[in-house]
Amino acid sequence: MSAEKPSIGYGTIWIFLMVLLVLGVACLKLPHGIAVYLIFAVAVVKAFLVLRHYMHVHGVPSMIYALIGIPVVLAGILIYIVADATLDPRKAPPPPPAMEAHE
Amino acid sequence: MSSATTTAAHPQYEGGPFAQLPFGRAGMWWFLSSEICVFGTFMGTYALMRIAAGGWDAERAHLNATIAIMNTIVLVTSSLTIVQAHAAAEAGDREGARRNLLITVLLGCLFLCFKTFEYSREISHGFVPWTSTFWSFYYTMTGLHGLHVIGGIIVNFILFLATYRASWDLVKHRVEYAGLYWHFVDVVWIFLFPLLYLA
Amino acid sequence: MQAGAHAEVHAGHHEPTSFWRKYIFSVDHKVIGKQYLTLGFAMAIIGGFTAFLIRWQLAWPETEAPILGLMQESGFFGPDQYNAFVTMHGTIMIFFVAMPILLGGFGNYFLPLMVGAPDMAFPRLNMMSFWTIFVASCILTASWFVPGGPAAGGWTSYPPLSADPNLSGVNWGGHLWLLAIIVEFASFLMGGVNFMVTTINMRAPGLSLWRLPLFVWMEITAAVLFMLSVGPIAAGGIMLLLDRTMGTGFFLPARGGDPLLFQHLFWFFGHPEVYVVLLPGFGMILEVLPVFSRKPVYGYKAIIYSTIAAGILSFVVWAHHMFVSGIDARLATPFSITTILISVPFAVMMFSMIATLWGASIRFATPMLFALSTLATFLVGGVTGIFLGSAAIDIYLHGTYYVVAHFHYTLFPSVFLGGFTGLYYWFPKMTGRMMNETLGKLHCLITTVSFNCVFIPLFFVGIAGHMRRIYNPLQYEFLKEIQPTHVFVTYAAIVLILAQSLLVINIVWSYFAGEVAGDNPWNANTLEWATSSPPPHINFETVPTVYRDPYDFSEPGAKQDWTPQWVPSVRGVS
Repeated sequence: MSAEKPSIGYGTIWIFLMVLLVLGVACLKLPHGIAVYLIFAVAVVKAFLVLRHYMHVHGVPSMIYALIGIPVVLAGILIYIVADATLDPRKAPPPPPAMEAHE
Repeated sequence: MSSATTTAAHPQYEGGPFAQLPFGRAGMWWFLSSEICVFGTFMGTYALMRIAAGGWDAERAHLNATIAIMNTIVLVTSSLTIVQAHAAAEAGDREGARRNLLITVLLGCLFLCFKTFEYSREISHGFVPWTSTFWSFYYTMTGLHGLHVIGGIIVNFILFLATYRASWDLVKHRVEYAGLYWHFVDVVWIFLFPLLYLA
Repeated sequence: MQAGAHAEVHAGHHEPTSFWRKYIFSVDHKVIGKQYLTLGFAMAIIGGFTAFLIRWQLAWPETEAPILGLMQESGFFGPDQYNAFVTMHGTIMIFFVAMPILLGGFGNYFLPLMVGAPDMAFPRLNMMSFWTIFVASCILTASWFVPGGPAAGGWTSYPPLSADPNLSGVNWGGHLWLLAIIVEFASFLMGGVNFMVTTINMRAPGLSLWRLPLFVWMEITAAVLFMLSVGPIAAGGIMLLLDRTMGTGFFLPARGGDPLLFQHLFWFFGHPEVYVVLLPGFGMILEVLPVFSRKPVYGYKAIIYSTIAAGILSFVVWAHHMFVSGIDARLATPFSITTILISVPFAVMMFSMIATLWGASIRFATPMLFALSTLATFLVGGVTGIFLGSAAIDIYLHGTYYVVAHFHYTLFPSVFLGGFTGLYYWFPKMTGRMMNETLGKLHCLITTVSFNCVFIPLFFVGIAGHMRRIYNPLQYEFLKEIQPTHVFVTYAAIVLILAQSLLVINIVWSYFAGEVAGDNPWNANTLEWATSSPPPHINFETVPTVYRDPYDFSEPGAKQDWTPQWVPSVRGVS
């Protein structure tokens, strides 16, 4: 059902996670542009390891994959649209006129 | 009340392709699904406002990455111990489950201690939630995460106490569900840590 | 472990005996459902009263409103209080009337019955969800009495007005409003988990997903929509609360924030939310239409696919609430397209409902009258929404009474007319008594007619340029000539509100002196009618096995014009 004897031990996964932590911190030495993507990639790999080996999301009913994937997609849609409003200064609404102090 | 076993043990229910999960596990995943939306929104919004504001590098320099790294180690280790508690509970090893649950609770408290220390240092330097938008986001996101950690510690502690009771066999399947929640809290931190402290 | 789990499940079915465990802190979904219904009705009285005050002010501006004079020094109220009434009317009606009645009330009561389960999957979580929303209601009610008054920024609570107490003069009222809503979200999250796991895991043998009653499909779609959309507004609400109390700078430009961000977060939730409120109403009339037409629902699968499609689309239409808020003008096109697209699945549902009636042998009992009324009224609401979905027209109509009329023409049918449909239909099951048909028909007639008298004129008032949430329309020259319309509308609104007393009388009278209903007074097919009225604590003495679809009416070769789901062959009826 849930915990068959795992092919890779939990402790081994822990070691991988620690190694990835070190890798992630080491990425700070790299130039900023590429560091951001690498650090994010490292985080995704760590999350994947926890999901697959600790939360046993592997060969589970598709409902679980949907429950994880759909919110991520939805959050992505929301952020994409909001980005339109906040990122480009030209697109953002003009700042409100300065208000004089009221009574 | 809430059933642990699959529908195989409840032949009175129809079952079917979606119904293979035990109630508690299915319920926990539905809850986590909603939580992904909450934290995803916060993180995405933070990223956007940071880009729009030009990076917030000056403010971010005041964060202490070392404490955060130690917190990451603590939280990841607690994920290890709680999944070991689950394995022990499944195997019938009450002592092992008890021990691992206790360590998980203690590690969770250690996370909170580090966080409190970190907050107090920042506050003493004059960085409070209303100092700037960056600090608003920082305190809100880590604070919300911290509240979830507190919730998880309470649940894990209740399960730890349950190992001392005769009804343990009836409730030991709940270690898995508490573990799912705790792993989720860990995964949120896995993304929160680089987002705030590294990148 | 097997034996232990069985023992646990069986122990859970031990019927409680003490008053507190039986009626107050009950884990029985039927009791919890009735508690939600009671809460919803109580809050509806307050919500209806605020509507009365709004209408009074619009018809006879700056005069003393009756009844209000009994609650405070004078019945006269200024613009600040008016804004508070507008805000609380919307908030109470959506969050504390519509959702408790449709989801918490009827959903909790009938979902387990319709799937043949003894209770919800997590009964204690169910109980906690009710008491959580009870706490939220108390918080919101308390906000009426704090210094500075209740929240007054509209139910949408846009910053900067709602983010800075100095701007609006509302201090604690706004904090409590946000707190009440955040707590309410937690309550419905708990309920949503219960709905999903119960429907997926606890169906009776033979009840495949394609044999579920449409009410169940609608409830679980609504639950999914709510659970996926609540995240951003929970985040936004927390951020707004912090802006108000701790001086953070999420939404205030002066502190480096972006007010538009709140609107995005709010409406990303807000739009799926209106479908959360709409779908259960549709579910109830879809239950009633086949029963009183003695015909299967036309296009059962089409309705389900449309519901799912509408649910998915509902997540990508939200910016149609923000066409004139300062978003990038290029966003108007895609959101107009998706908004107009979303009318297609609803049109499919409407056509299916009409096709269900086609050639049917209709019994005009009260539930059916309300179902027909819902259908006709929602049609107007849906069609007028298409105009608003097109950005070009919306630029003119946004924020006018046209919008108010549109959303009342969608919300009122689903919440009230649909809710009344469910109430008249299921009252015999919940109480074992039939309701009075004469009173019910009168209630339907007066409600429908007066509702249309209230809101049809408001479309024209909106096109004439009357903006929403204005305290005194007489201060504008061009609005003075439509003042007689406002007077007419207010009279109609008073009739509408007073007509609800017919329902109250009917409920009270029928509960004690109504004709005794049997198990299945309407000769319906779904599982809730397989047990006694009201059902016993464990719902079914023997769990039924399901052999057929939920709407097998007038099947050729059958002895009667109805064949319940739990009967194997068409020739024999239990």
